[in-house]
Amino acid sequence: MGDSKQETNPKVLVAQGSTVVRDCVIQGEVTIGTRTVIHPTAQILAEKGPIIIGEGNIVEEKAKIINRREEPLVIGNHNTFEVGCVVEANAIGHHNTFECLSRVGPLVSVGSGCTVGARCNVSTEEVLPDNIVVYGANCDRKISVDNFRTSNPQIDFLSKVMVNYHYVIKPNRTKEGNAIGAE
Amino acid sequence: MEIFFPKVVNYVCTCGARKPLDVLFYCKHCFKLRCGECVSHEVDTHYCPNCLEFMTSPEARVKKNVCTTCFECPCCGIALYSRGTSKQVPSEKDPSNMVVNKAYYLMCNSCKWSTHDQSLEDQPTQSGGWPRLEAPNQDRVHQLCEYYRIVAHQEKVEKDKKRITQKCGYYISDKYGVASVAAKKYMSLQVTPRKESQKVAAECFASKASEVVDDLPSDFLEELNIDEVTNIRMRLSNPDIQPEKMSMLKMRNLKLLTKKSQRCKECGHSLRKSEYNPGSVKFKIQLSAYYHIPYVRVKQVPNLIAGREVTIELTLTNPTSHEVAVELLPMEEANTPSGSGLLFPEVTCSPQLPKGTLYLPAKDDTAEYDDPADKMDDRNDKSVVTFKRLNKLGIKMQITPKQAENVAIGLRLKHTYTNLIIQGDKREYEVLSLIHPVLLNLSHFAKNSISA
Repeated sequence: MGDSKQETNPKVLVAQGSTVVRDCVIQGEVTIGTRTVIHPTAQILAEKGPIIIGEGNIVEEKAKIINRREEPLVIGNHNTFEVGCVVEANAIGHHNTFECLSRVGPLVSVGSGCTVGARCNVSTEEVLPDNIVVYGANCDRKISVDNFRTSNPQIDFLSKVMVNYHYVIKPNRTKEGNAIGAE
Repeated sequence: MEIFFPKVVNYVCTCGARKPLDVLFYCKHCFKLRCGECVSHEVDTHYCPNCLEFMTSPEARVKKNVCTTCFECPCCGIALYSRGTSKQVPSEKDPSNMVVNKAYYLMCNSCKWSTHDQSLEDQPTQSGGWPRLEAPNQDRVHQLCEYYRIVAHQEKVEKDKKRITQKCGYYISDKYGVASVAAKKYMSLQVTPRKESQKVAAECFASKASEVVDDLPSDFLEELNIDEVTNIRMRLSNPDIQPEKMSMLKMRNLKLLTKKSQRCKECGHSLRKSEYNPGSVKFKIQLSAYYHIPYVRVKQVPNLIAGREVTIELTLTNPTSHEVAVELLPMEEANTPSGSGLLFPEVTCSPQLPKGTLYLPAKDDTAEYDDPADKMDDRNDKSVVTFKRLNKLGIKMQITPKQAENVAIGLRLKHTYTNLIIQGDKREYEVLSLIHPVLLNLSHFAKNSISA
C-alpha cells in the first residue's frame, strides 16, 4: 500500500464495475469480470495459463486461486472464495462457495452450486458434480437443493465501502475508450 | 486445559483413579482429592445450548428433554439458524400491486441442509411455528410406557406388602409416631393407577415376531447415488424414522443440556456448583484441585536411554495464597502397611528425589505486573533448585531408566495446606500436611523431544 501508481502488470484485465484492491497479489494473465470484488491480501496466481474470473465473485482476504496448468482456468459467476481458502481447481462453475480455509486440489473440476465447507479438503482427481456440499471434519458429502444464492447486497456494499479505504485498480478500457464488461 | 497437563502428570485420586490435576476436585472438608467418578453428580438445571432458555427438571421431562423453539440439523446435529428471504408476491387486496413478503426458513450452517429439503413451507415469523415431529410409533410407545408403569406399581405393592406383613409380628408403639407413618405408607400402596392409564395399558398387546420382513430397497442394489443415501450416524440419530435417503431426513428439536453440580460422597459438601443462569460460566462453589494443590509439571526430559542416568527438570507451582512447603517422597514407602496401600504397577523407574523441604512462595496476583526480581529463598537447596519465578520453582532430579520406552516415575507429593477456619468472627489458620501420589509419564514427553 502507499504508491498510488496504476498497477503495471499489463496482463491483468479488469472489467468495469469490479472492485479490485491494489493490495492483492495478481500474478500472470488474469481477467476479472464485472461486479467481482477482490479483497486485500487475496492472491490470484496464474503461474502458466491464464485465470478468467466471471461476474459477481467475491475473493476474500488471504484466499488463493492458483492455476498451474497451461490451459486457462475459467471461473464462472457468483462464486465466493472465503478467507484463507486455497483453490487450484481446473474449472469452476457458478454459485460455488469455498468456505474459510478450504482446499481444492489441482485435479478437481468443480461444477455449479457446490459448497466446500470450512477446513474441508477436496484433492482427488474428480469432477465435483453440481450441488454437492462437502462438510464436517470427515469431509462428508451430500447434495443440497438450494445452493443458488447470489451475494448481490454484499457486493454492492463492498464496492461502495472498499473504495474509501483502499486503492483500487482502475478498470481497463478498450482501444476506443469504451468500458469493458459494462453492457 | 489439556495444554497444562498433556496426560504427562497424573495425580492419584483418593479412589485410586489416575487423573490430571485440572479434572480433580479437592474436598476442603475431608482434605482429599476427588475425581468425577467418586463424587455424586446432581442435575441442577436443563437448558437449551442454542437459545440458553432454562427450565427445571419436571418441565424438561414434560417437554421430553428437547427445546421447543430450536432445531438441530438431521445431517450433522448442529443447531439450525434462521434465514430470511424476501419474495415479491401480488398483494391480496390488489393483485396488480406487488408487495415484498418476508419469509423465514431454517438452515444448517455446516452442511447447508435446510427446511426446503424437508419440503416445509417458509414461516412468516423468525422463530417458532414449525410443526412438531410426530414419531410414527408414538401411540405404541405411550401404551407400553403406561403398561410398564402399572407393572412396576404392582411389583412395588407386592414387595411392600411382603415387608409389612413381615413386620406385623412386632408391636408398633405409637409413642414415636411410627405407626402413623406405617399406616400412611400402607394407604399409599392402596392407590391404584389412574383410570385412563389403565385403559391405555389394557389395549397393550405383546409384539409378535414375524417371518415376513421388508425387502431391501431396490435402489440400493441398482443405481445408487452415494450422496443421496444417509450414513449410519444420521440413521442412528433419528431412531424413530431411520431414514435411508437424504430426502427422508427430518429436523429434530434440539436436545437440552444440563448443568450439574458435584458433591463429595463422604461428607456431602458441594464441590462445584455453577450459577443457575445458563449463559454464565461462573461458579458459586468451585473446589477444583487446580486451585488448592501444588501442581507438578515436567519441564525438560532429555533423550531416555536404558541404563544411563539423566537429569530431568520439573516445575512446582503453588496456586494458593499461602506459602507451601513441599517434600518429595519416594513412592515405595506408600506400599508399607502404614501407607495408603495403593500399588502403582505403571511406575517403571524410581527417581533420585531431592531431600529436604522446598518452599514455594504464595501466589500473588499483582506480582505479575511487577519487575520479576526474584530472589532465591535461602531455605531451598540450591543444588536442586534450577530457577524461581513468582510462585513457581524449578527443580532437577536424576533418573536412571531401566528401559528406553514407557518410562514412568512416581513420587509422593507431601505439602502443607493452610486451611482457613471461620468460627463466628474468628478467623483461624490451620496448617495441615497432605500427601498425594503423583505419576509422571516421561516417555510421552521424551518422544516429542526426539522428533523435535
